[in-house]
Amino acid sequence: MATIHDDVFVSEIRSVKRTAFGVAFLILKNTYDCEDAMSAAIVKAYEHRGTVKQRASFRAWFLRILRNEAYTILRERRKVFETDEIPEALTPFPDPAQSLDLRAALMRIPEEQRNALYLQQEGYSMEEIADVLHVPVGTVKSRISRAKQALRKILEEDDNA
Amino acid sequence: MRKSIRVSDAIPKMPVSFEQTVERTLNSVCKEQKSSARAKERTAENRWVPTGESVRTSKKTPKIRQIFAYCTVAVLLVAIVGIGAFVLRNALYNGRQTELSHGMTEQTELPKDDATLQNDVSYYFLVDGEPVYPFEGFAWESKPGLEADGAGVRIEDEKVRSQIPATEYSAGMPFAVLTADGWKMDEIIVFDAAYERIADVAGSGIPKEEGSVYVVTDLLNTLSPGTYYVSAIVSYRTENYSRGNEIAICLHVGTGAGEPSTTDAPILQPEPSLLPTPFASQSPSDPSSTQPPKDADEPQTYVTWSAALTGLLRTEDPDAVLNISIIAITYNEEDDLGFLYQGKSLTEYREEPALAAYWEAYDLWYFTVYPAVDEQNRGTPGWEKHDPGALFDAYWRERHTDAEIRAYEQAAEAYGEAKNALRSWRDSTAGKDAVRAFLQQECDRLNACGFRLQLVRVEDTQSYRLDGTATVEQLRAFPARDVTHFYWITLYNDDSPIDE
Repeated sequence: MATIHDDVFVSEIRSVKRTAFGVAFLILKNTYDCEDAMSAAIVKAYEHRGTVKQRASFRAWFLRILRNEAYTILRERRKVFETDEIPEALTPFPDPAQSLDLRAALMRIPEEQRNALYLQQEGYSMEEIADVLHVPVGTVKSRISRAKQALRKILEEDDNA
Repeated sequence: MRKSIRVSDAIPKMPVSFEQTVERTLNSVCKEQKSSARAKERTAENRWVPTGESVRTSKKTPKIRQIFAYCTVAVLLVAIVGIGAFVLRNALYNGRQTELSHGMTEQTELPKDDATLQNDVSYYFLVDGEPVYPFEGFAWESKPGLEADGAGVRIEDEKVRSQIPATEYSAGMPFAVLTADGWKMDEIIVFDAAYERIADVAGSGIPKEEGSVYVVTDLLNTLSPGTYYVSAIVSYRTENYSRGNEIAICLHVGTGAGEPSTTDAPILQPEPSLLPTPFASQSPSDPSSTQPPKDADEPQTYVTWSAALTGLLRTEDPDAVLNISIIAITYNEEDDLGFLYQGKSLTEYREEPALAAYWEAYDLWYFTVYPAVDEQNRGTPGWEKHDPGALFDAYWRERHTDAEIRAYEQAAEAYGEAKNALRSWRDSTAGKDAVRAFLQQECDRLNACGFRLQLVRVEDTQSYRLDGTATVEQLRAFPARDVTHFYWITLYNDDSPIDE
């Protein structure tokens, strides 16, 4: 498409924002940085909205930009201090009883795997996920499979412990 | 052992501050583009620097810089658990006899091959328990939207068809949409007879009851007799639709509150008002106008009113006193809280010419050079682990002198230190004291304008809100601190804010 009309752009961003928050959170692990990444991604996407080939690919295109922004923030953060600790969330979890365990488990598997699994569960097609993650469809499938196996194993170990 | 693992269970609920960031950023970028030829010049001159901060423009764009500069942290957030129930209960008791009139529906982003549209009605309303198909006999119009004097799309796929939510409208429930599996409510917009937007609720701001019922609130009951239009935007996702993937149905429903109307909803779409500014940016003598300022440089106030409060402001006597709660105010950590790192603001670090030039070049590269490189290498072993930033860095270094590279590295390191200092400061006692002091200052300022508010710590949290009273007239002319502060104001009842 030549360019995306403002109304369409706004609608697309609104429709993807919840998933976008999840994608950013799985990388950045705190809401402040998610907001920064989202704001940055929207500005960048708006400026370059003419480069989207078709509307159907907008979501994946935007999430790819967002993911890149999240990694930019992560790189800057790590220039000064490296940390593997999981920061406390600033907002409540959907199910506090189990989500802390699950979150800890999630953060122990590679980001590519957890975001692939997340996007799949959010209803994204394999092609879209491949587009977001810069990988072939086959790789997406294997990552999702590995993510599930790894999570089950971690959670089972925790349960047994 | 868990039977299923949902990643979303491990992700916090999307915070209101995140939504506000989205809306504010959208509002800013779209207005900037629309405002004038001057905006184009600014866009060309001031490329945004992707540094992870909310503020991404140079000193040449003071307005937009200010807007973005206001950090995305919403200070006063109140949990809204149970509010949906309150709203629903309120609606049930305060219902007014109303009738449906005409409207239109449009569907965008249709799946290409998996479904077809027909002139049939499968989107229906329940009035006193009986299904009503109010909009038969419509005809689809040409693109871009399929517009019709009626509501309803029929999708051949039975699975999808059976899951289309029913829109319920009755005297006892002003407006609700029952969602089904796979559907989600994106946005609810209420227009007045002139088809001007008077309320707009999006995303998680939409109240939810029992996991399946969304209610617009009792706004419609507070409206004076006349014709109103309600637009509910719902979307559906399924793997069946891998190409279009999402169906977004925009249902415009005429609801003549107390005055049955047969007037069609106008086809003309209003200019989008991403952040409702229903009163503060307009003349008090013209309360029906909800259009945002035409130019980005015109003064405007970033205020979100709860729908119930919006209704009261339109109908109540100017001297009527309302219980209100300001549940969110945004601030800038540099200008409002005075954060500096080694005597310099974060903006000054970010706008260091060597750093700004680097990120400007990165933007250009990312959208011109990189897509082709990415396409060519997709599928190459190891490519999925590549870092676009590192690729660009190598690309950039090959094309710059040692002196330029050193200047960039020094600026980037200084900026990184400043950002991390800010990160630590946010969680420090000094940072939290600064927030509280700012909010107290804001409370005092509003009280000097005639409001009667007090700063209240939200129980078991680090958040605050401003509770108290104000007259309708004071609220209509809400004295925002300046054009870049953002307020979220709601009614206050029974010791808790009514957040809609």
